[in-house]
Amino acid sequence: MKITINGLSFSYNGEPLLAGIDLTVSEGEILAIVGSNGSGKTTLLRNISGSLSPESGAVYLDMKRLPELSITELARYLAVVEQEREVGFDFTVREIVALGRLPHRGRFARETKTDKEWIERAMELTNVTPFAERSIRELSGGEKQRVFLAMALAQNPRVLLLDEPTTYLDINHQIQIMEIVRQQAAAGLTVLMAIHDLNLAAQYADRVAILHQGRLLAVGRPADVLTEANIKQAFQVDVVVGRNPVTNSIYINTAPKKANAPTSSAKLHIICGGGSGASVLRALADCFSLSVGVISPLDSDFQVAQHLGAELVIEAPFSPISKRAYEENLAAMRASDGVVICETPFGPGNLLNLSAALELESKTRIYVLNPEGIEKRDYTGGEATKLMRRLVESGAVPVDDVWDLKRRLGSRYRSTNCHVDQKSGSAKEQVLKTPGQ
Amino acid sequence: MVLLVLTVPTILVGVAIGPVHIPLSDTLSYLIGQGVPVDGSPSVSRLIISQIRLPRVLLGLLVGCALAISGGTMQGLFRNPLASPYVLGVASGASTGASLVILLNLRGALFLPLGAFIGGLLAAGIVYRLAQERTKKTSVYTLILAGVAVGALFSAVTSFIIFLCSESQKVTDVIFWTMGGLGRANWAYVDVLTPIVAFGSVILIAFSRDLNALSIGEEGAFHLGIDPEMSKRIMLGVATLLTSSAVAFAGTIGFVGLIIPHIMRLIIGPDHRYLLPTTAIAGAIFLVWADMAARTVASPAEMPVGIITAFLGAPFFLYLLKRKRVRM
Repeated sequence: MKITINGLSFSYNGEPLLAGIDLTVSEGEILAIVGSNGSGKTTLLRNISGSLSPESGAVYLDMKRLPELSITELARYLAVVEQEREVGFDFTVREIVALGRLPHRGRFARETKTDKEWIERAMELTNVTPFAERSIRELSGGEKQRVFLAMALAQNPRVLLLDEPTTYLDINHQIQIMEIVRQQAAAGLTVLMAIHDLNLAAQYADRVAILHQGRLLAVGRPADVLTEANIKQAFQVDVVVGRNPVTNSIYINTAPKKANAPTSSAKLHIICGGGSGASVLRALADCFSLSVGVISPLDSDFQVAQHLGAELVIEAPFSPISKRAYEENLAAMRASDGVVICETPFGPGNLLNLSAALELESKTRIYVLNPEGIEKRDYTGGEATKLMRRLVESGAVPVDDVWDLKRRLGSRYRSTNCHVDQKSGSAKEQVLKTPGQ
Repeated sequence: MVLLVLTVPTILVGVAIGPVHIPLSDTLSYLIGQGVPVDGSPSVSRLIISQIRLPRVLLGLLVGCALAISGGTMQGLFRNPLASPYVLGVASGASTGASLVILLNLRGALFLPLGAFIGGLLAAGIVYRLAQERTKKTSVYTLILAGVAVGALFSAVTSFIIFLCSESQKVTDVIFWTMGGLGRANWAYVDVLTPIVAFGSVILIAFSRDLNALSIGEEGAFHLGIDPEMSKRIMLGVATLLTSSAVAFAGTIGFVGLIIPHIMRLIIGPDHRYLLPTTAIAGAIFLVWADMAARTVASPAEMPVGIITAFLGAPFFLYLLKRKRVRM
């Protein structure tokens, strides 16, 4: 069944909550409505479910305009799963699911065989049969939500509205609910859901609608709509949108842009790559100006460094370090107060980064993370190990871990921020590190 | 469901045994078992049975049924097992009506019940109007609060009326009336109450599935095809009518409407389609037995039946509360 929303507006106590919403959801489609708290998601759903009547505009189920359907008729086509429901008495799970058959039955009629079949089927689908005889009030949030989904499915609806159905659930139960919904949509159920979790929306919805201050900001496929710019506008938050290589759906991570200028005027150069530099870069970004190199744009450390606003010395992907990049890198190191060499795997492609460090005059102090571990990440047949030993012999400072590094750098370059961090901040890091020492 | 079948013979036994506990011969009890001896033998005992005992037992059944089923409905509507048929202030309103009739010395057979009935409906009507919002919707929370407030107001009026009473006999009458009892039973009462209770109970049972749906909230019920406003209005109206009628003839008997639905829910579960009919029957039986006790415990004096209902119901209720819910 197709939902058509034409120019829907709604206001409460004179305050406009929804304005000029135009939206269609086709049969068998899952459309996710996302938006910040108070953006009007629930109000929109309640206008579609008939709980509220639009001030202007109209909602159609197929060709029927909503008020033309009686309450009972509406309940035969459309079922709703709310965010949370409190049940008044100790009804069993089965009794609750059986309520879903009410719209299909007369006031005095008893449960027919068909009713019973629907109830059983809905309980099987949502996997609540094992606790069918337990009281609904004894269940956990995830179990309860599945029971109400079962009740909605027992209604045998053509349209399912879900209002933040996964808000209180853990990731396992979120996925269970979403998988059931996807299955039903594949069988022709039209699904419209308001949802907070952008990643779930991206993964499970065919289309996403972003609601912002009562208006539709964008509607379309998740990858087209859930862009960094749209999310910034709707949620006032900086995010990084990536693509999950396994599921091929996009994912969204919050990534607050660096708010403060570095607290120390000192500049550091970081030699990293292959993900070895991410934690170092993040730990130091607030304290120092950073440069990174030589690094390829396909490297994950590159993305981190770029996001943190570090200066970059770049080489094309899968290419050896060119003369130009080498010189540039050396210049960046010479312009720095210190150089940090991360636990990077070294191969023929990036070995020159180590050689460059050896060319430095002794006034530039070099910090090396875990130099003893070099043999395990040496892919040059011992060349990198040799260079590393020479570095340490000529005065490079071995460092245990990021925490140790930050402490040493903090005291040497008088970065107050790093000192404060040592005591109060980064409690998590501290906890993680202590047991190993 | 076993209970439903068992209760039918229990009613008969209750009716038969009831009068026997009063010093009467076994033969008379047998006669009742045979049917209703309306006229014929001029035996005094028979007259006692036909004119006093039998209407009293029947009135007990009707009042108990009305209070229990109204209580069950109110608990369902308010989604609160502590609701009683008196949440809308019916008891206080009826007391005010009754005490006014006593104060004004209106001495017709039906004046007292009529005054109480009007008082009860008036109080409930005021509560309902107060709880109605601009959107024509009624919030159950506002209903409860308004019920408390209006009830307190009517109680104050009753106290004021008692204060105005100069004759101590009238004061005693009012107080006895408020404690409730079946002592004034006669056939006229039974004739009036029977159709009301029958009609009201059928309507409430017909709406029991709406109560089930409402237990997941009004919005949830709406999505199951039930108009919550209409269901609420009808059920509140019918339950209030039943309660007011019961109170009009028997005074404000407490406890039956609160405890019987609760006990039945513990025994048969919360499904109102089964809960309401069984509650009605159980309430009827319970009140008849309580009344028998009221007549015999302090014989020949008569205790107000409300004392007995509380004495019998409370411990049993506590016992059930301690046990896990069992399904029958």
